Amino acid sequence: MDTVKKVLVLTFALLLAGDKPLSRTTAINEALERIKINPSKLSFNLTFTDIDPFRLRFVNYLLSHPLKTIDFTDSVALKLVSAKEPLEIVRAASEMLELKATMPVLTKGTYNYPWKSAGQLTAKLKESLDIIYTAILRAEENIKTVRSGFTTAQLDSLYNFLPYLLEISEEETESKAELTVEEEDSISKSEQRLSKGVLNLAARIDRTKISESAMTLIYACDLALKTLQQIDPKSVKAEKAYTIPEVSGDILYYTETPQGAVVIGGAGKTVYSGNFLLIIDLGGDDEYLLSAGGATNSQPISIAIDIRGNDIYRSKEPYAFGSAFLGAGILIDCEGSDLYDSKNFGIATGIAGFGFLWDQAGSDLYRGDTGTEGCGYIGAGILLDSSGNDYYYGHLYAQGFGYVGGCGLLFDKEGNDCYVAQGKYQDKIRRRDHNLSLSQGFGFGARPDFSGGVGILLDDGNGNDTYIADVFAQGASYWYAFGALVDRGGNDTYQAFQYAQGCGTHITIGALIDYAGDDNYLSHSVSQGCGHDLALGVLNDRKGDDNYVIYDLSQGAGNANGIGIFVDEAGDDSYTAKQDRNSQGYGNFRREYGSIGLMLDLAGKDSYIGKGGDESEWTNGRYGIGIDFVPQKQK
Amino acid sequence: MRSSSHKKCTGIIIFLLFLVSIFGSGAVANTEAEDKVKRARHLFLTALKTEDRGNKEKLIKEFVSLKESAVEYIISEIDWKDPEHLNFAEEIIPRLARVAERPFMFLLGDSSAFRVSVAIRFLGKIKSKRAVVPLILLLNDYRVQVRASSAYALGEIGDKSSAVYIRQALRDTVPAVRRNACISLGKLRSKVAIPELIKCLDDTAYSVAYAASYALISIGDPSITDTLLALLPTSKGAFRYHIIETLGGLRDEKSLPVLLPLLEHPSFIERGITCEALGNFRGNYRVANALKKLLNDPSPFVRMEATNALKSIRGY
Repeated sequence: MDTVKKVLVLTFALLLAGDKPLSRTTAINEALERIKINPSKLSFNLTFTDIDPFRLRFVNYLLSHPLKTIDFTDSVALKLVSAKEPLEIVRAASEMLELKATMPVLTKGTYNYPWKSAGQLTAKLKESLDIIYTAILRAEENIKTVRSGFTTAQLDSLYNFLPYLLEISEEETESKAELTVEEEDSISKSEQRLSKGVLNLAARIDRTKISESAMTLIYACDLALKTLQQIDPKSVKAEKAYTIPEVSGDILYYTETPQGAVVIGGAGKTVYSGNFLLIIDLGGDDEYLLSAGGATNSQPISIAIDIRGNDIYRSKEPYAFGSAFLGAGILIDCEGSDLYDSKNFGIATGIAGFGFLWDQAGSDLYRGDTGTEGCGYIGAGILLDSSGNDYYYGHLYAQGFGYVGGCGLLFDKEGNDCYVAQGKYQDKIRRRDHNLSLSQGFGFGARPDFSGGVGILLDDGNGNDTYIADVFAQGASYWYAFGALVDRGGNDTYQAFQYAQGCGTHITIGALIDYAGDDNYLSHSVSQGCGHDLALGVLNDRKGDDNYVIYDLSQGAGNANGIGIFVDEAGDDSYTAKQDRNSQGYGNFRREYGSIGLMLDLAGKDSYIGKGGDESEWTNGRYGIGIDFVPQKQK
Repeated sequence: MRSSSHKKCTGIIIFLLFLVSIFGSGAVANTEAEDKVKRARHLFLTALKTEDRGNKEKLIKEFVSLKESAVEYIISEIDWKDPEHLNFAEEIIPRLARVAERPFMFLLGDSSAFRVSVAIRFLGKIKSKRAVVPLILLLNDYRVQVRASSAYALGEIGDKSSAVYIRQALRDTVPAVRRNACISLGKLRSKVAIPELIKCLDDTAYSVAYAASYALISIGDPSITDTLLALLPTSKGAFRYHIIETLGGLRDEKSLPVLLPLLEHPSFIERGITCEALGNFRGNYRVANALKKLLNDPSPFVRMEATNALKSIRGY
């Protein structure tokens, strides 16, 4: 009887097991076993470069345990998605940079608040101002301590040279063509020397203190926001008629504090053309023509809160909107369809500082050039857009870009969004007919001296999104960095040219994860799960009937001892690769050992042009393997 | 009195002229040397940028003709760690073997791990016999880069006497060192290292296990087959797969009675890996016939490996 029971239980268990879809981990392990590799022992060799002050431990960990990358990226996305308040997002960015920032605690001080005697301001407004100003005083202490570690000359060097190390000037591109080889060589060496000097100086910046300041300010703003949103702007009368050169329109209150000027705008249109400590605008379609929450050398803390209206934020200056240099800049826009227009390092950028831009509602247009829309460098730049169909436009280092010691995050919570990052800076080294992007979830390091940062582009919700870039983009990274693009739903389109869509180049980690939807992926080469030179590139699409098109060295390709992993977990997919000799599960033999390429399709009726085939297995190169799994567990 | 002072003056002038001639010629020589290094820099950078093969070769030849100055320039480049420059220098360095050996030997005493490992790499490229002893000593260096480079360079140099010492590097804690040691022992066809190399087939790092397999295949001693055949029944997992792979690579017909039955093994991975191994037996009809049966195997992996192996047997 017992035996019959056992047989029945076993049969039932087997039936259940048979129905269970193949898990991603099992599929990867099975593929590795076929090329005689023990999955738990798979790792990169990290012994050939010296550790620098900006090396992130988690990047080292992932390079030692590359198969944990997908789970790690998931956990980061989950942490951000489940954040209930913006403070948690800033904290997550701080944690990614391995800064041990403590959570802020605000207690009302016994300060003599400048607006105490302002008769027309409502109690709620005063209370909000008190909260924010208390946080400003707290943050100021920290930032002063950080700045006091440097001489004026050093601060000037950081202010001028940190952005200079990243910027590519168009004139320079033109003139370099006429240089002799010696001149070109000397310039490149001077740049390397400068980069070493400046970044070694920047390594002394206490980023923990700056992140604590930013967290304190964001916490206070978030607290005050609940009260501010309850205020009817028409119920507040102007304290007096103000004539201030830097503000025009509906001004309710203006005062100057030792930390900078404080302005409160009313229900009507207000035009701001100065750099203020604090702007609170209660309503109206406003214009910000220089800065709003832009912290600079002269104004290290800056906050702007716009409660209502379709606003225009336009400036050619760096650190303009929710951006910071060696300080904290915060911009919160609560309602309306807004336009953010800037040049370099203007929107949600943190250079040696923390910049935070939170747009809570409306379909917005973001337009920048270099280092924009979530760009972090020795600090963090965070752009959080909570709703609406948004359009993000940039050229270089944009939309979730992290350089040395930095974390750049662009987190869009919902809507059909469009991300464009390309079109201006020629890729001189590889293809002059293409442009560099280094954007859309891109981590970048200063090879060979300094490790890179963290770049994350996270799009939540079921919107149908479009991602357009050129060279280096879409969940990619370069030199001891981490770049990830995570899209959690919708039918999305990804378009790039090279080093994109889950690509790692030179000892680094890049991942693109798409959770659901019928997606289109188009790139030329070194893309779609490609690792080049001791790097890991992962493309993981979980659901939907997807279409993948590439030319060569992509779709699970390992090159020069890199690892490329491509996993499509469900749906009837279509794969096109022009060069089948080095794509679709390809690993080549370099430096007398292997590169690993895995292309795995776990389910569905799929069609292939290239090396692969539906319900079949193939090898490509010594350590390259592709498996289109048969629906039932195969033996 | 007058004539004696005149004589003194003349003597002083002659002495001064003598000093000027010594230092002056030194300065001229220094300028000449500097000019040569400058010329070397120009040639190197231009050759690096030149895409036309003919022109590139001309520039390289002229660069090599500058001998010591060319080496001096290459050494000055090391600190910049530019992989493009270093790889190009590595290509050229064998042509400068005679003059490069001494300066690179001096670099072995440098405090920077990077400079030392580049010097080792270059000494390996120029196959410097004089570097063998220092490199053997550097196999125990505290810096990983240095140990790994030494293990590799010794194989490049090809001095069989170093095999005993490289063998010790197979026990290094760092996989990169062990891998390079395997590669070198394979190049040296060192029979003394066979037992250690076989152990490396069970290494936790896949790159070491693969390198050990290639090394054993290139050594190709019949004793390897015997040892592996003895180990096969008790081996498991990746170790077992690497044994099968190595047996195939050795192409020793002694292993066929063991390998052919594995084509009926219950594990599809084992059947597939055996197919891959048997693909090395080119022109062997018995093996080909056995493999043909697996073209209808239920596992796509086995079918694929059988197809590939048959192609390999036919010499495609």
